Amino acid sequence: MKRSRRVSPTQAVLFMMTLISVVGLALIFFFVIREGYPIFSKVGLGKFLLGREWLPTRGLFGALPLILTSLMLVVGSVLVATPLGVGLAIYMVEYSPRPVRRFLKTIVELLAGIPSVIFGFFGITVFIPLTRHYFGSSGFGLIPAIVVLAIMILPTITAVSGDAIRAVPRENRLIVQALGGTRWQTVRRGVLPSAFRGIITGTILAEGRAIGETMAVLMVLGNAPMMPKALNQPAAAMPSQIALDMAYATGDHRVALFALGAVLLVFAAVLIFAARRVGRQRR
Amino acid sequence: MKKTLFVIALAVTAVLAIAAAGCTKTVTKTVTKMEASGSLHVGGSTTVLPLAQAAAEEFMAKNPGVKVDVQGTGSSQGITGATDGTLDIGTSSRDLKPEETGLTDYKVAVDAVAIVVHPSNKVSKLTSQQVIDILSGKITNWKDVGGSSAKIQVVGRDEASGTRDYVQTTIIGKTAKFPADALAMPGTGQLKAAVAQTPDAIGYMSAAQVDITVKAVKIDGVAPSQTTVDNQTYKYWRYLHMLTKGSAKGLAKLYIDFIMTPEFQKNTVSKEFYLIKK
Amino acid sequence: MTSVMRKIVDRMMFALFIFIAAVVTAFLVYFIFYIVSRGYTAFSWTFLSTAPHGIKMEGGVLPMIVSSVYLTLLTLLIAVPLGVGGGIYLAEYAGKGRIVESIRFAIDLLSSVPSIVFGLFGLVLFVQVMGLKYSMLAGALTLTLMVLPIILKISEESFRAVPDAYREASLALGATKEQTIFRVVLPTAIAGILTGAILAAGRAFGETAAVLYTAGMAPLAPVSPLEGGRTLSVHLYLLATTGHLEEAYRVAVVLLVIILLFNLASNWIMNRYRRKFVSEAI
Repeated sequence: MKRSRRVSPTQAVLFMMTLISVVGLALIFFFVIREGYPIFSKVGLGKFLLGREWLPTRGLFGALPLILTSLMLVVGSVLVATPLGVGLAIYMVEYSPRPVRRFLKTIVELLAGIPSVIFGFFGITVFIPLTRHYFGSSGFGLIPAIVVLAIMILPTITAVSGDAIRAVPRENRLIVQALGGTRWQTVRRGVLPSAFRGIITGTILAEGRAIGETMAVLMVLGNAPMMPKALNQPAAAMPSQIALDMAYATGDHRVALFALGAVLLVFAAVLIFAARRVGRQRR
Repeated sequence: MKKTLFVIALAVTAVLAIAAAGCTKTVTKTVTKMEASGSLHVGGSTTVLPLAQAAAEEFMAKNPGVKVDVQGTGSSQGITGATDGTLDIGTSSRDLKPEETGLTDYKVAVDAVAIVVHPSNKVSKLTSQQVIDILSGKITNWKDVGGSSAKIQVVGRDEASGTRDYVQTTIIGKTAKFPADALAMPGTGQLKAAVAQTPDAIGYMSAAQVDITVKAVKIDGVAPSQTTVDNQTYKYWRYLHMLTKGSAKGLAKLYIDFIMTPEFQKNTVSKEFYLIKK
Repeated sequence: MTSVMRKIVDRMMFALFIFIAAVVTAFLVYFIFYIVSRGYTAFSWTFLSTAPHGIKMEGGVLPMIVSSVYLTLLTLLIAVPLGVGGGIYLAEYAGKGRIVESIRFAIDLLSSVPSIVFGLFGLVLFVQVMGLKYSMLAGALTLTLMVLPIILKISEESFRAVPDAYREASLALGATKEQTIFRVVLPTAIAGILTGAILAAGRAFGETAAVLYTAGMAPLAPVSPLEGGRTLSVHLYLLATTGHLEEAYRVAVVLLVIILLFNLASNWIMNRYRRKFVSEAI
C-alpha cells in the first residue's frame, strides 16, 4: 500500500471522534471554573481554601473543613484498603489455583460494579448502627465513610496491583526459588520490589476514586461542615456537600459550590498526573 | 457477529420508533381532549413535594389528557419560578417576603414542626427558650434541661429543607447558629432514624410524620397535634403554600381546587401534614 | 532467620492471604444476602409493572425502570459510536507523537473527573445554557462524557489485540485500509467492544450524582428525550433518605440484580472470546 501523507476522510472523522474527549474535558474545566471563579475574586483564593467556617447562607465560604475531611477520607480509606487489596492481588496471582482465581476475579468485578448509592444505603442500615454501638456518638461520621470508601476502592487497588504483579518476569521468581527461598520470600524479594510502582499507581488511582465519591459518603458522613475533630464525629466532604446543597443554592452559595467542584477537579488532575508519572517510570 | 450488530441496530431503531410514536401520541391527546388538557409545571418546596406529587397523580388519573410534572428544588425557587412564569404553580413552605409581590397565595396544608428526642430520654418537655438554647448550641448537656448528664447531639436537616429554614428563621432566629457538630440529614426519614437510634439526640421534623420510634417533646407544656395547632396553643407551625401569578386560572385552578377537596385533604394530605382549620 | 522460622512466616503469610480472600468474598456474599433477604418482595409483577403512588410513594417502580433503561440506552447510542471511533483511531492510525500523547492524557483525566463534577457541568451546559431542562437528553449527554473513556480504552485494547496477520492478509488481498478496519478488524474486535459497552451501561445505570441534577427526579416515565425522569438509583437515594426503607430495599434489589446481569453478560462474552483474541486482563 502506498503510504500517502494525505489524510483520508475516514481518518479525519475518527480523529474528530477522538477529540470529543478532549473537547469535553476542556468544556468541563471551562464551565466549572467559569461558574466558580467569582467566589475566588470575591473572598480571595487564600480565604476560600484556608477559611475555617463554611456557612454559605451567611456569606462565610471557608472550604478548609471540607477539603481536610476529603483528604482524611482518602488517606483513611487507602490505609484500610491497600493491605487488603494488595494482599488479595498477591493471593490471586501467586497462590490461588486457576478456578479460585477466576472466582475471586468475578467477586472483585462484582464489587467494582455495585453502584455507590447501594453502598450508601448499606452503610446507613449496617455500618451506622455498628459505629454507634462501638464508638458512641450518633454513628454518622468519618468511620463509616472510611469503611464504605475502602470497600469501594478495593477493586481498583486489586486490579492495578494484580496487573503489576503479573507483569513481573518469571526469572525474578525463579532466582529466589533457586536460592532456596520460600514462597513468601519469592513474593517479597522477587515480586514485590518490581511490582512496587504498579502497586503505588493502583493506590493513587484509588485515591482519585475516593476523593470524588459522592452519594455513599453523603449518606453516612453526617454532613456537618466543621473542622474534623475525631473519627467518630460527623464531618462534611467536598463532593457530598456539593450534592447536598446544589438543589437549592442560589447566588454566591451556588458559585461557591462550583468553586468546590473546581478544587475537586484540580485534586483529581494532580492524582492522575502522579499516577501517570509513577506508572511511566516503571517501564 | 454481523447478525448481533444487526439485532442491536434493530432494537435501537425499535426503541426510537416507539419513543417517536409516544411523542406524537401526547400531542394528539392534548388536541382532542377539550375540558382539562395540557401540561402543568409545579415546583418548589421539598416539604410540599410529596403532597403536590400525590395530588398530581390523582389529578392525572381523573384527567387523562393532563400532564403534571412536579419538581422539588426549594421554596425560593418555587417563588421565583412562579414569578417569572417558568412554573405554573410555585410551592413554598415559607411565607412570602414583602418584596415578593404579584403572586396569589393558596394555603393548602399546615406543617407543624415537632422537636423530637429518643424515646428513652427522660426529658419530655422543654420551654421554648430551652429549645432555642439547645438548637443554637448554648445548652450542650441534657442535665441542664432536667435529663441525665450526656452531651446533646443535634440532628438537623440539610439547608435545602424548609423545616430547617423554619427552625432557623422562626425558632432560633436568623443570627443564631446551629452547633458546629449538628448532623445534616438529607431527608426526614433519615433524621427520624438517626434520632430513633441515638439516645442523646434531638431533632426537628414535621409533626404529622412523628411515629413511635421517636418522642415529640411538649413545648411550653403543649404537645403538637391537629387540635393544639387548631387552637393555636402549640407554637411551631406554618402554612404550606401554592402560589400562582395573579389568581389561578385554568388547569392550575382545577389542580389547586382538587387539592382543597375534603376527600383529598382527609385521605392524602392528613397522612403527612395537619389540615387547615375550617 | 532459621529455616524453621522461615517456614512459619511462609505459612503465616499464606494463611493471611487466604484470610483476606475469604473476608472479601464473605463480605460480598453477606452484602448481597442482606439486601436481597430484605427486598426480595421486589420479585413481583405488580412491583415491577406499576407506578409508585400516594403521598408516601408506595407501590411499584415501573417509571424508574423506564427512566433508567431509557437513559442508559440513549447514553450508549451516543457514546458507543464515539468511543469505538476514537478507539479505532488510537489503535489503527495514531502514532506516538505529542498530540496523541496529550489526547491520551486528556482521556485519563476525563476518566478521573468526579461524578458530581460531571453533574455540575451537565447542569450548567446542557440543562441551562443549552436549555434542555432536566431531561433524558441532558442526562445522557452528561453520562456520555463520563463513560466515554471506558469505551475508548476497552475498544482500543481490543483493536490492538487483533493479530497483525489479519490486517496484512486483508491488505495483501488488495483491500484498502478502511475496508480492512471495518470489514476485518472491527468484526474481530466486536467482543471487546461489547464488553466495553456493557461496562459503560452498568456505570450509567447505577450512577446517581451525575444524574440527579441533569435528568431530574420527577417520578414519571419519560417519553421524549426532552422529558425528565427519575432513575432507579435516584429513587433509591430518595427513598433511603426520606426513610421509606422497605421500599428502598426492594429498589436496591432491582438495581443490584440488573447490575449483576450486566456483569455476568460482560464476563460471559469475554470468556467466550478471550481465548481467541484478547489477552487476560483482570
